[in-house]
Amino acid sequence: MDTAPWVSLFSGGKDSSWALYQALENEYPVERLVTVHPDGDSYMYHVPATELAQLAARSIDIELLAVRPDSFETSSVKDVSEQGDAELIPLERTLKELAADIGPIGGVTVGAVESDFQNDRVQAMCERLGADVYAPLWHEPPRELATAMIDAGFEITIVQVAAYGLDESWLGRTLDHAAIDELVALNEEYGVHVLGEGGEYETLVTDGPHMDVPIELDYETEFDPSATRGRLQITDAWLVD
Amino acid sequence: MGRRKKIVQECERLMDEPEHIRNIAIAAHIDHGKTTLTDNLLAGAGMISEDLAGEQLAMDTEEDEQERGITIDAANVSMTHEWEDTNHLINLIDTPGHVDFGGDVTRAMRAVDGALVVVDAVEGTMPQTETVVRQALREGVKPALFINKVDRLINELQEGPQEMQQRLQGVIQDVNELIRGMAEEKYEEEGWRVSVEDGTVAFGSALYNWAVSLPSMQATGIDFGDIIEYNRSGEDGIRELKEQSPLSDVVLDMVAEHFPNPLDAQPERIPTVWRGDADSDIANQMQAVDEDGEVVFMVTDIGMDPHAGEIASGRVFSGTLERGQDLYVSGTAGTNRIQSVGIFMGGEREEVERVPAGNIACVTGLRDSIAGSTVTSVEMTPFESIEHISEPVITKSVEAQHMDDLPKLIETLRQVSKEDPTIKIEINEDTGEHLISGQGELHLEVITQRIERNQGIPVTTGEPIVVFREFPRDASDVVEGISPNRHNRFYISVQPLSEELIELLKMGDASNDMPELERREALMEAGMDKDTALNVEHIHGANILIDDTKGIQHLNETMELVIEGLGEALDDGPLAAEPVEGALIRLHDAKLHEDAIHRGPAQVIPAVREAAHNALIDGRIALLEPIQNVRIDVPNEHMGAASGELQGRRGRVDDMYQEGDLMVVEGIAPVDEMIGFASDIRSATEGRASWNTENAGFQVMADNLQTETIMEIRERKGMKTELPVTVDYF
Repeated sequence: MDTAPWVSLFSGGKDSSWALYQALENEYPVERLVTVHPDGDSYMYHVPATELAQLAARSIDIELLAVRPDSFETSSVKDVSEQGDAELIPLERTLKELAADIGPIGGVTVGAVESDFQNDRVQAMCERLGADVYAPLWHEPPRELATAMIDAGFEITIVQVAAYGLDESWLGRTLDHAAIDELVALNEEYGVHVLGEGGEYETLVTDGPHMDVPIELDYETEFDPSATRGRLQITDAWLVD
Repeated sequence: MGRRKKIVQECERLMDEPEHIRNIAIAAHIDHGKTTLTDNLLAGAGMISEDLAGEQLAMDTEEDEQERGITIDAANVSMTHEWEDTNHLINLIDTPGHVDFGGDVTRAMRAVDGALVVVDAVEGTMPQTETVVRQALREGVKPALFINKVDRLINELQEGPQEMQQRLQGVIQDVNELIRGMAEEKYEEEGWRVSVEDGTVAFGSALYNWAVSLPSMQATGIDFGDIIEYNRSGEDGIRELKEQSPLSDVVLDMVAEHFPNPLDAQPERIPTVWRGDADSDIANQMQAVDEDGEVVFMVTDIGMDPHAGEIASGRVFSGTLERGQDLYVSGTAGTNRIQSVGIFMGGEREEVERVPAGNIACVTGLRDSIAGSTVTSVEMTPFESIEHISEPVITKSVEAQHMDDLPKLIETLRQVSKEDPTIKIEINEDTGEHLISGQGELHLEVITQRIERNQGIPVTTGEPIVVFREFPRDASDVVEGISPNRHNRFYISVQPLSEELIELLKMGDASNDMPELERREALMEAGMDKDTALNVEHIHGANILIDDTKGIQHLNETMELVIEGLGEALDDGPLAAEPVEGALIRLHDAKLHEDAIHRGPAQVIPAVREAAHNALIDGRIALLEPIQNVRIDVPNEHMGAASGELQGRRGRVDDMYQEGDLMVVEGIAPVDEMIGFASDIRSATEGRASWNTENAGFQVMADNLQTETIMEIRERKGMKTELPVTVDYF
């Protein structure tokens, strides 16, 4: 196998973590995790808990590169597609700088499942960088994926909800088999994506086979019923020694 | 061969001669005697024993109808009658007189070509007479008049020929006013005006089994003086009169002579009741009453037979119904197979081999049909949804007393709503507390009694609860609705619809399944401006969605979800989760995520719902409550007590006047306050008052009662007892 260094687009959520885990299992030489911290509403990246990615990286023991959003001015962009493109600019620049530093990037792991929007843009970027893309979740059946994650020992906490049918009780809930069953039912009723691919919910992986130690959290929940939206207000987080 | 069997055979023969068929309904105010009339017509035609007629009330087939002495379900009978030496087949649909059951009346009118309007000579036309005649005329049904209880003018009021004729002329004039008001062209040009001279008016006594009309008087030589004579000479006189001028001959002659046969009626009625392509084969077959054409059967009523199960009755407009046919039922997938075909004789069903076009039939096997279904041998445009003047105004919870009865209760409730589409059922399998909504307190009482007695299911019922509406009073600003994932935005405003447009929508005269052009014209005729009418996207109840956006990518494929979200917002209004009516909702703009997975139902529905609710609140949405017209007939000495009962119920007395020896109090009152009126008025007037109510739509509830009522409803529904923050105008 080519030993050019790989990077993992990593938010700390279950999908990017699963892509990373699969890459590691298949012995891709992942040398960096890259997290984008967006300002305000993001159209491409997981908003909450990205700060926690740093903690996760320490547990995984791979260096994490944080892309700060100061250079993309999403607030002035109104169109959804333009905003997605604007968010890509600092990421692409960061990866180029990284290539200058550690050598040409062999490939990128990405946790996209069904979002063409996300996948198309990452594919295009990687083509420009001459890098491969590893997207082990792409077009896999959501329920089976979720089950595989849980069975592999992923400890997944729901940190944000934003969909009809997901109320406050889902905040802080662990994604287990019972939760999957409920999500499947909500999928049938309201079209909620079982893995939250439409932004229905966001997660944080607090433990897993790729991590040395679990993450512990202190949090409060906040939920706005009129916006059908809520999230964990994480007050403290630490690695268990 | 039994007499009855002979009649059945004769009916079967006549079925194939549409020129000798008359399909008619009797329509009247409660207690004006149409069930007695029906029985005596049946007796005259040899269908039931004469001794029993008047007592038997053959058409009141439900036990509770006979107990109450009022008719609840429209039931059908067929009879034969000889007119001008030719036998005629007369198919008669009985209709309920109590306004609580108005939906049945409208449905019956769809199946008939003539309406025999029955009016009590003493009481004259009543609010319900007007409602029923209007329903008939709206459906294009030709009226004729029978003035009943003429004996009371003679025996009770001691009137002479002069006074009597004056009074009868008054009744005729009132009925004609109604006809002219609803169908002026037909009144002026097609002889729909009822008159003694034309023979479209008959007088008599259904109870004592005699009647006269101008043609009968000319034939028998009996005049008003003679009638008075006969009536004053005791039983013998009345018997003589009955023999000289029997009710059934006079009335059925009038029916045979003046009501159109199906061959004459269907070409004109099909365009009134059916909106499909007028040049299609099926339209031609229906207009031609073609018994070899495709089967077209319109179900007007579903009844239950303990042995045969569900029985669908209605009018065959084309083709011939036979056992074993596989027929399509509008609004459902697949076909149902006809198990048996028959006609009704009183409360009994007679199976026959076949029922051809132009007749009233009853069939078993149509398990998917409900009252109002179109049943056909080829898929076709259904008859427009049957129009109801009456929407449910009152709701009651029903619970089985024993857990074991739960499945049976649910089945029975579903059955009830099939038989009577004016009943709305909400099944809640989680709590076991089901809701039934209907036309009035009595309507619901009758339904629950049927469940208890016919099905033997002991039930506990809750207090009756009035159904409210929510209505925006002003135009709102444009409001933004954001999807939970914040990737989609909708910009919505509302404004109130005009009364005329609300009425149009409630009558179903502009609906989603109409051709767009036709719907647009109907809306514009009711006052909608052209630009708005061009952008109509959807109609939900008495609300309209206008899509004012232009060329937004992905909006087309998302519109279905927008409509769904809007539907939820309108079914459960922002004030108290009561249905919204009279809102014109404009979609001005939308911003959608380009990726379909980010704009699914879980995102779009709550965004639209929230935007619609906020817009409605900004439009000063208010609670509407149903109101009823109330008429109380009461002796003079109790008039104060009677009008007091009305005024004490947030009611308004509009008129008080003398009629005969009674005082009439007319007014309106909210349905909510009318609960329990029956016993209160009885005790206030020592049982001397008779009264009648009629649903009269919805009106905005007084401002000082809004908050309190909203809170009561919210508490009852287990909602938060606080108003949405932006509602602060009370």
